[in-house]
Amino acid sequence: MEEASLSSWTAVGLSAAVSPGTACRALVGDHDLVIWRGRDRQVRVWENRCPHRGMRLSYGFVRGDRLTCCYHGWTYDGEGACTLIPARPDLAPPKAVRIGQYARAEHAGIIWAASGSIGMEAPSFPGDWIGCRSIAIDRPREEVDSHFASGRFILSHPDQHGEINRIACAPSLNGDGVHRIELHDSHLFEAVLCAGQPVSGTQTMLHVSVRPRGAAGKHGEALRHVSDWLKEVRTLVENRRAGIRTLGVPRARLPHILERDHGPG
Amino acid sequence: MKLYDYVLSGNCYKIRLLVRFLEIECEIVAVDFYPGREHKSAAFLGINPLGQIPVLEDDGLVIRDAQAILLYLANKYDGHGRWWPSGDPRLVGEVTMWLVFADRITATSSAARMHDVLGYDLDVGAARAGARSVFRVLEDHLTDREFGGHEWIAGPAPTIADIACFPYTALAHDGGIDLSPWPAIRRWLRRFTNLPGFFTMPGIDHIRR
Ligand SMILES: N[C@@H](CCC(=O)N[C@@H](CS)C(=O)NCC(=O)O)C(=O)O
Ligand code: FES
Repeated sequence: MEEASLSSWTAVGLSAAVSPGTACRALVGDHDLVIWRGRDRQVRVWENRCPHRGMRLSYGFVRGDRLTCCYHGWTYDGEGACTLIPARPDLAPPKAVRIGQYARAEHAGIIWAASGSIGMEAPSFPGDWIGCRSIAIDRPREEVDSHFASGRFILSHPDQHGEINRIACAPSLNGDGVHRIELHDSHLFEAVLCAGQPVSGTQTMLHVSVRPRGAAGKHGEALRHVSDWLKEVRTLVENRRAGIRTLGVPRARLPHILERDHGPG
Repeated sequence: MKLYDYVLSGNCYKIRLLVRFLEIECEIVAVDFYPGREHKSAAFLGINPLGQIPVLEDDGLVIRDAQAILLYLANKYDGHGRWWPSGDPRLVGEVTMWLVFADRITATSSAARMHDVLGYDLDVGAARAGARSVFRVLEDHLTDREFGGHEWIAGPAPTIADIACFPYTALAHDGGIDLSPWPAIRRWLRRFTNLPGFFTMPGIDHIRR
């Protein structure tokens, strides 16, 4: 797979998936990350390894604005500095015990991470986005990207008259695995943002947000519509490699995606 | 009432959970599953010819299969019909569908765990791949449920379908299956561990969040 170096901003989860007081794990190639959010609502992305005996910190628990390792209870503050070693309450934890940090940003309903240099400009997608879902696709990210770039995915959406329109997906913005689809005449949503996390040589997580149109009461419908479309995207990407032809499937079973007959590949 | 039980069995744990949720009395009979293989002894095969646990004995009735036992206990002892909403045909259909689905989780995720934890000789790659396709179905379902504002597998409240699907999903990591690709599943697990009366079994993390 491509070098998953986290050298550019990479989506690692939906903001809503890491609620205050919880921790979870994300993989980006060889990078094993713990993502957690304290009661202060700040999200942190760290190396998923306790400096004590190497336990995954994603098994740990959050109390207030601290993360505690579930193995022997070493506790870390929001900057990754150890503040407590329960077996040695008399000992001030050595300053050197500090967990490796990743740069992180929250934008468009998505948590982004990058290694090192804070100088990088954080991702920016104007407007009010809400997280839809994350979906695992059992193919490497470059394969998912090339499907998007080919314009092969068609997103259907109803306009205000209930007419179904179909739009070919826009190519990736800059080859960083982020795809934005703008819809001008849908009454459900204005835009869909799909950000790929290269988990491994065989798996991608797509983190997807939408800019819904209309009243909040309608948002559920928009999210479900996009989620159904994503399931079809997953089927299409995975079946292509397996040589299963999607074209033969009755249209009623695949309401959103049509394959263009002239698409490359 | 007697439950033939093994501490490390997720299927037996389903029954112990419902017994606790319904606050009923039940005697626990420990079966030496590993290493004793007592479930394959002549005496035990007399109780369950399939040589499997859990088995429940109540009033001279012998029932095997965790899902069947859940149905029996909920019908008999859940006066409110909370865990088995028998008055609503739609819910009966849905809950039953997910009860049957739970056995697929056992066949895949539990098999991978038997290999990793108890050294069973089986194709662990196939078991893990099977578990991943089963969890994908559960993830898509729970995602849709959340869009509709629902937190449980079927209906407005937890049912025996949630109990049946919980143990071998929560124990997946014991079989080398990482749950990070399925965020809706992880949220549902967390909700389950926060149910009043919930208690854990070895391998299931219970930190109140
Ligand atoms: N469908 C049964 C499966 C029970 C099952 O697999 N039990 C395991 C222990 S968790 C067992 O007894 N395995 C031994 C065997 O199948 O030979 C149920 O849901 O109760
Ligand atoms: S490994 Fe984390 S506290 Fe010991």
